[in-house]
Amino acid sequence: MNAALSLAIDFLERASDVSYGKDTNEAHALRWAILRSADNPIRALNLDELSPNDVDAMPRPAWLWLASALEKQDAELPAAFVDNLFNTTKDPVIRLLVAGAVLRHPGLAQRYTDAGATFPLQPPSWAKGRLLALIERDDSEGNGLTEMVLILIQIGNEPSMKLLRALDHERRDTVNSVLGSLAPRVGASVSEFRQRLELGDG
Amino acid sequence: MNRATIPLTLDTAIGAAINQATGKGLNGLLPGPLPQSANGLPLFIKYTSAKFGGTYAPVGPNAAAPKPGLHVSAAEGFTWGTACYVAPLVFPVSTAIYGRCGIVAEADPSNWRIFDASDAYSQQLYVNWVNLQPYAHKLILTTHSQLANQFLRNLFRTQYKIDCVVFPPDEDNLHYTLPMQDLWLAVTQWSVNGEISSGPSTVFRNPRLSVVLAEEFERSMGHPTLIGPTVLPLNRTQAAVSIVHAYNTAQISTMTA
Repeated sequence: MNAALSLAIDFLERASDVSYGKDTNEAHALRWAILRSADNPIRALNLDELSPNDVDAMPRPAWLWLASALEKQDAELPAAFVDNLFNTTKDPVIRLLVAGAVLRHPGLAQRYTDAGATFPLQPPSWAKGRLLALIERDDSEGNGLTEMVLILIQIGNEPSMKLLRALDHERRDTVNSVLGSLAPRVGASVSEFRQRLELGDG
Repeated sequence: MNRATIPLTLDTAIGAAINQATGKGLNGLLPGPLPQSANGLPLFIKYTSAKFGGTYAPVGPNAAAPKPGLHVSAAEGFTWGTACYVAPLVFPVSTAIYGRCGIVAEADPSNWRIFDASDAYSQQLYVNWVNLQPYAHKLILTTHSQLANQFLRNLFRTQYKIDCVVFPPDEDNLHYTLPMQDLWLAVTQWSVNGEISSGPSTVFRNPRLSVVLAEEFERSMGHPTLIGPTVLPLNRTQAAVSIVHAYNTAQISTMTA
């Protein structure tokens, strides 16, 4: 881990950890606004150099806070690092929040603006890499892919939906299985649900 | 942003509720007209600690220093998720429990899409929306309830492109906050791709430290006062007039407890 990020850990924990109290969280949010107004404090953190082992340097809420604070001009968290952040917990909510923070990066949205409907036509990303790895692993029980389908539908932004459509191209049965469990809640058939998700005929 | 996870009827009802609140506008949802700046823009107030309130001082050694935008609260535990939390200046001391420095800023709410979370019907629509999310059970039942709440509120506001949530105070002091009358605002800072952002708010302009309150509150439920108030009831109308005058003349007013 680089020195700037080591120094920033204290700040990030106080900005994000509710156990410090709302006053402390707010004071650091204000300091963050001051830093953001004057310069780009993210650049010095060299986030693109993060290694998987850096995950334990901060509590997850601090990483989530930082990931959610990233703007278009900021580096995206490296895929190997995100993989470790995601995989070192079994808690489905934390895994959803990690995926959500990563999938919402404005830079990712920009890179996926013109992405095609299949994986080869989409730029690299942590989520794409994870989906391809799960497909390659022939995740026969489908648990990993099922979780990712649910995550992509739950996040629902443009990159998520493009990744879902690409996965649907590769593993329609898995996608339809998840949609089948959700469709009754929406009051729709799987076919209607697919249309609402713009997945095409299936 | 895909909203396919809920029935069309609920989606339509939420959209209609937002359109209705937006049609009324902020002025229509508040009990009185919004106090305005010399530029003719409505004024809003955010209280912060003295440690950083001085940054916004319009007079004194910090006067010439650049003023950051009002900050967005991005930690978990904020009622409506990641947002810039303010009160309309018509409620001048409602949020004083959060610090003795009142930072006033102007904004144009005329084009804000509004969700009125003070309205019981709209509240129910949101609860119904939560219950139909694919991760609903996990998010509702998790021990990480504040993170889950932040995720859900942010997602709801993003899906419906809500610029401002109007909600009743859920923290208060007996004298300074009137939960049955006051309304607080969670105002969204959007990123370039239509997601919720943090950092400085660009919605609020020309923030200035306009009032310093001679009061301290305990950091506990009910936020009991430690000094006053010495005169009851607090004259909120006069307080608003004084703060508007201080803002428009680049002064700092003081309020005794």
